[in-house]
Parts: sequence; C-alpha cells; structure tokens
Amino acid sequence: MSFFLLMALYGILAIVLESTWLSNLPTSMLRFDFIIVAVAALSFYREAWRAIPVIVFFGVITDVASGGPFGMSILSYLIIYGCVRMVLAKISFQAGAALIFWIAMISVLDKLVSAVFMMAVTGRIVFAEVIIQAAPAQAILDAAIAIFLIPFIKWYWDLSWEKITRPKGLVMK
Amino acid sequence: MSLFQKKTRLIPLLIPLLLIIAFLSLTTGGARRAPWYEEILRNIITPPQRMFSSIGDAVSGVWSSYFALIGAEEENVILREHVAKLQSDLIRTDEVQKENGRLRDLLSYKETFPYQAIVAKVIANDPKAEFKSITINRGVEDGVKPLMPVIGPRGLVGKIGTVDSGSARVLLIIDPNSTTDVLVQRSRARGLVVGTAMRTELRPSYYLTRMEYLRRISDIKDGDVVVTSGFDRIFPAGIPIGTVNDLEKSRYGVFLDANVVPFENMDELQEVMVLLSGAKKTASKPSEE
Repeated sequence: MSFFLLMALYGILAIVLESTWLSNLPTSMLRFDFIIVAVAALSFYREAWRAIPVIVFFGVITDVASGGPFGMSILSYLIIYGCVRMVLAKISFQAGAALIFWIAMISVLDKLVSAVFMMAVTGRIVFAEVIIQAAPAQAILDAAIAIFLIPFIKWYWDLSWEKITRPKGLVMK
Repeated sequence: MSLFQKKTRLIPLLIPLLLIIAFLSLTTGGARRAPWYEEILRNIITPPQRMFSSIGDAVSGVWSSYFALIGAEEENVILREHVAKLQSDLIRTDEVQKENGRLRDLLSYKETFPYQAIVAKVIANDPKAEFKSITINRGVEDGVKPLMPVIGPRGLVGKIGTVDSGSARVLLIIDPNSTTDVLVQRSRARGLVVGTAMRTELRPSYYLTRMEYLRRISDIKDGDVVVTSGFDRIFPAGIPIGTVNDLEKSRYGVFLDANVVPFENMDELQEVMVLLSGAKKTASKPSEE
C-alpha cells in the first residue's frame, strides 16, 4: 500500500513542479520530465500488478494537468510499458550506459506516440514537426536525469515508515 | 506455458486499455466543464500548484531585489545598513508596484471592450512542452465558462478550455490545437491564425503563429496588424493578435500563408483577463492573490 501512496505523491509532486517552477527550465520546449523516468523505472523493475496502476495514474494526472487530449499520456505510457516488457528479456539495461540508452529510446518513443496520436486526432502535421524537433534533445535530457533519478526512485518506492523511524544502529545489525 | 496462461498474462494490459477507451469516449472536446474524475484530480493538483506558484513569485522577487541591493551597496556603502533594514519592505513594495502596473495595463486595455471581465492569476503552465496552455485561478464559481476569451495587456491570449470549480485551463493561441478567425486590420483580409508552439527568431522569447487560408489576392504585407474578426462567435471583433511577418507567396495553390508574431509574450504572463461573453460591463473583480 505504501508503494502506491508514495508513487502517487511522487506523481503529483512531479506534475506540480513541472507545471510551476520548472515549466520553463531548461527551456520552454525542453523540460525536466520526472514522470517518463518513473514510467521507465516501473517498466524495468516492477511487476505488472504494481507498475500498471501507477503508470495509469501518472498518465491520468499528466492528461489532467496538460492541454493535450485526455487519454494521450495514458496511452503513451502504457505503450512504453508494453514495449519495455516485450524486449526486457532480450536487452541489457542494468549497466549504466545501457540504461541511459534505453531511457533515451523510451523518451523518443513517448514523443513519437504523442506525435502520431495528435496527428490522428487533429489531422494536422504541425504537431509532428514540433514534437519530433524537440525529441532528440529531450531524450538526452531525460537520460541525464535518469542517471540520478532512477537510483532515487528505486530507493524511494521501497521506503516505509519503519525504515525512516528505525534507529540507524539497528539497521546496521 | 499453456495458451490460457498466456492469455491471462495479457489481462493486466487489457484492463487499462479498456479504461483508456472509456476515458476517450467521455472526452467530447477541448473546451468543456471538467468531468467528475478530472475535477477530483485537478482539485488535488491545483492547491499545490497555487502554493508553488506563490512561493516561486516570492522567491523571484527576493532574487531580483537582491541583485538590485548589491548594486546599491557598491554605489553607496553608507546606505547599506539602512537598505538592509528596509529590504523586506522594498521587496514587497516592488512586487506590489509591478503587480499594480500590470493590472492597470490590463484594466485600461479592458476599457476598450464592452464586456464584463474578471482578472485571473496564472498559477501553472502546461507540463508537456508540446502543448501551450496555462491554468488560471478562476473557475465555474467565478462565472468562467468554456470558450470564453482570455486577453492580456497587449492582446489576445487564448480561450478557456477545461473548467472546474476553482480553476480553468486556458488554451493559448500559440498552441497547435488553437484556431482563431482573424482579419488584417488594414485591408480586412480574412484568414485563420493557428498555433505552432514554435519559437521565433523574429522576436526572441516569443512564439510564432501562422495565418492560413488567406486568399491569393488578399492585400497583406509584412508589418500588418492582425485582429480577431468576431466571425467565430468566440472572440469579440477587434482584439489585436500580432503582426504579420514572412508572407509566403508560392507559385501555385489557392491560399497564402503568413507568420504572425503575437503581441503577447506567453512565457511572461502573470495576470490575464477573462471576458465574460455576452455580459454587460461592470466593475471587475480583483485578483485573489
């Protein structure tokens, strides 16, 4: 239960930060995306019954906070999850460099899904232009964030009240 | 692994997909009253957004004033102690003055429109870089409804998209989902301004919009001012949008295209005004924060 609660808090905080303090950082077309990194971490490391509800929740809150059509982020994140699970047994992602590469690929996939979805919904090519132009730089940024964020997320989702309040000496024993 | 086991593994994927279909089917368009599930989530997200936005404003005020004080120290060391004592007052006064200036600009601009309007504060931007929308601190409780026009001190900002009880999302004119029926002020040539969400080198930190469906014989040139036509029954006629740049006259085709640089810098919006369509002009409601 604490896993779901912690991840819900993470998602809300990430969306709030991305839409306020970090909304123009580093630039208005290139953003810190803590959600996509979390989606990647969930896809790589957590079992389906834990990962899917959290990924759907992340998609819902992203869609609620964003001006895009409702359902776009949910769809995009679930496609990412599905793709990662399909190739998980065939790829190496534990090593640092490999993980960074795969996070960049996930970021590009997210943008591609958004571009295709928006083109299908609106019939206008301008979305694809905007999204694809920003995709390479965004992928590099997402991969760079993942270096720090994935270890944090892995520590964070196992956090419990006991772990926080337990004396350090006892943990050492 | 049996076929049944293989199929049961797909169930966790099928459930959310069905959920998506359900959500998508409930979505009828960009401008609407937020459904209950969205309203619940927005009510979770909006309070921290308001809080973070307020803290951000305060911190940026302190930051900018801090540099101003460094300059003052270098110029006059004797005043340092005095300045330090008055620092907090100065910061507060400076912020209030800036806000007053912005609100005065908005109010004087508002006088040109025979509509009742309310001032709203921008509390959040779009978390997705490819979409350009803002969240304001006014909702259904303040009389805000979907598709109401939103203006800034220099011109058109956008229209209301999703609304909930205490906040609303504004679809900016620079968003690729946005379309506005416009006229060239000088020649009355008609076209559509659509968002591109792309920056322009013509005016740093501004976004570009495109004017489409202009007739080939239209009288239009660089520097022409583009205003709303009022024909779309969303925006009142005559709200300035921007100036024409880079007219594209291809050899073939029925229509002309032109880039339009909006008057408003969407990244710097802090207060906007919602025109309560159809209502008669009365005193505006002051901003909460």
